[in-house]
Amino acid sequence: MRKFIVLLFCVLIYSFTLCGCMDKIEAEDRGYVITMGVDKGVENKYEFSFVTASLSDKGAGTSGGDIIKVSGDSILEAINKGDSYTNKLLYLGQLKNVVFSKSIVEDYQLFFNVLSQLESNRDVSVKTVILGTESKSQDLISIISENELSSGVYIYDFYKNSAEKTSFTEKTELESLMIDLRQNKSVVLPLISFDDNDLKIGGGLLTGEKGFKGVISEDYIMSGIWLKNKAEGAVIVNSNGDTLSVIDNYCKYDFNEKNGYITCNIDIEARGSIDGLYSSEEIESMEKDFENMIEDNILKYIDFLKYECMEDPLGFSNRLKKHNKDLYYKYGEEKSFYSMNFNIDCDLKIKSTGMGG
Amino acid sequence: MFSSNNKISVRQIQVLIFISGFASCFTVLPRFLANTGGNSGFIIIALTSIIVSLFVAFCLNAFEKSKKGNFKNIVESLFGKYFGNIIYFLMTIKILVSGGLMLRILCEVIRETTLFKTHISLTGGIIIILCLYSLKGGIEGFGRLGEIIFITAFIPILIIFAPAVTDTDYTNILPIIDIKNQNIVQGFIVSLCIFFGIENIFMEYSFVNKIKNVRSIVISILFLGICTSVVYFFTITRFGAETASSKLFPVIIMLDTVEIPGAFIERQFIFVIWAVIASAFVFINSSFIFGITFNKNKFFKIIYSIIIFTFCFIPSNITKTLEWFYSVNIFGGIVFGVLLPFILAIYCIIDRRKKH
Repeated sequence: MRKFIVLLFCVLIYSFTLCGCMDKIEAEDRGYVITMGVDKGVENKYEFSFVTASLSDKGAGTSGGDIIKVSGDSILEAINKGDSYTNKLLYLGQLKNVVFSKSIVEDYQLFFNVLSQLESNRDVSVKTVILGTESKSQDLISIISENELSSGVYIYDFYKNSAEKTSFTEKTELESLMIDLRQNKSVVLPLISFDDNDLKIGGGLLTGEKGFKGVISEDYIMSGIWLKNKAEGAVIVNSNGDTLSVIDNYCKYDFNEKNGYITCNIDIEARGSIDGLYSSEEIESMEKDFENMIEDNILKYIDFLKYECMEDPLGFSNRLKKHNKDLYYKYGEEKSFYSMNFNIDCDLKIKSTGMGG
Repeated sequence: MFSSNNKISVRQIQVLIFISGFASCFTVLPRFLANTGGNSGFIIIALTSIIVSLFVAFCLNAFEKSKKGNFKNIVESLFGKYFGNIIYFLMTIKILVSGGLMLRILCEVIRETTLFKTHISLTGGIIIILCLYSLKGGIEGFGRLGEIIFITAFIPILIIFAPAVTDTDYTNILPIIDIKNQNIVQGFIVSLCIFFGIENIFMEYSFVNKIKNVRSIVISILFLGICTSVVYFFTITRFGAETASSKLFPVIIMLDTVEIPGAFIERQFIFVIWAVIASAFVFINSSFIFGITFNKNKFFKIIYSIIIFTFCFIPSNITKTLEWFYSVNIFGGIVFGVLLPFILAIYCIIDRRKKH
């Protein structure tokens, strides 16, 4: 009997102490931050905008939530201040997107500091989507919220449902962004804007340790997507108006040295489908046409990065280190990308015709 | 419920070796090894496990053939009862200190992930009470606990790992050997982390029922090495060595980011944390089990609890705890895990030859 009482007492003690009752916060008392906007501050380093979910009968985030604007030198400070502007405790555990304005992206140190704080915050998921905008992120988020687009969930659903199938933009998550920044010292943030009452995600902002380099066009983004084997679902239109839907693509890289330069051979294999019925000669001609188009666009993008931006967000130096580290160390981390000549060979096969992609 | 012969089966000792090693694999090993061995860490782990398994096989063979009984008897046989007791006591202290530091690591993991405001003294105290309660079952109860934990904690981890095989960029492991950015020698020393508590194998072996050779122990050490190697490999391919070295527990984060298609839970955190808690608990519990082989007296059990509880609180933060855990086990491990068993094994071989 005595043993039973002792056992019961122990079980009760464990139940009361280890179920986390001391930390309990009711769901209704939490302000779930779905989207966070970051701008460069005036008095403080940053100006944060927290968009909280609106919990209604139809479900979370079906209409615009509250927007809380605070300034602070860190995310934690801003959260603390933000708690005083609302009757709920701000919580980043459901954060889906973070939008950085161009003003913050232009200052790499501030930009990287915020990213590091997000990465080390135990509530924030490493799958949080990171975006950039040319306007103030506060304004963008306000406009989206006014138009009842429920920004956070809309963007999240876009990436979940559309982006991977349509492939004109790349989903950049916190985890992959930090890895790219550490390895390549530069990164392209997908660009989000609000035009004509419509939310648009396309293009990018290129930034790195050497500073902000400018806006990247959608065509260049598409070239980058080809090089990362993510072109599945992309749609390409050639000069004759023929439309190709990409089924899949695969890139192989090879590095060797020639005449004092590093030669990077990129072999791209792709399959696609087109609408309409064509003869085999016409199909062959179209394949060559699309191949030349893809190769030219990719080369233009690489030249743009190499000569105008002088950044390597596509990670060619890192790839060289993986495939041929002797060459990498011979030319050095700083110079290896700029000592590269690129040969791109695209082999496109049109696999289906007469049906939609 | 128990057979009361105070023996464990071969399978149980294999499971205990595996789970104790995995406690370090989840917590201490990845960050330190990413800083030193880098991409070649998984090869270093595999090679270390081969070397350790051969060493353990050599020692255990010598002990078994000497027919002097358990590990404590062998120590006393060489050093005499008085000095043998002192050496065994020092070894016990080392294992208890190591257990206390692992308890702190476990409490910090629990605090960071689930119980944010519950003081670690409460969590630590409860774990120690649980360990003391489990001492009632002795080594046999400990063995059975290990079997249950192995099934409930590690089968879900395997399920989480399966999608990671297809969802990984394997080129991140390249270049595997990069002398300019790696410290291979230090990597070998760090990889010994998974064999912290190896002294327990020498102690636990004497409790194994009807064992004819040490092959089963060697297999379990090699299996531990292979599994740890695979876990480290996926951690590096997922994050890269540089990012992995900047995270406190990269394996835990890595397992949480794997996307399981069609899963009914979005974050499989709960399985990962359960595996970490269970393996750390076994590690801490083994400190008590080792301690009671020195002296089963109730008074000593209280002393052991105080030592573990104290060392749980001495380090001021988790970073210091990891460094202390590493240092105590490297230096203590060289003396009590390598030198002492080696000297005892040589003594047993010479003694046996003299008798023949």
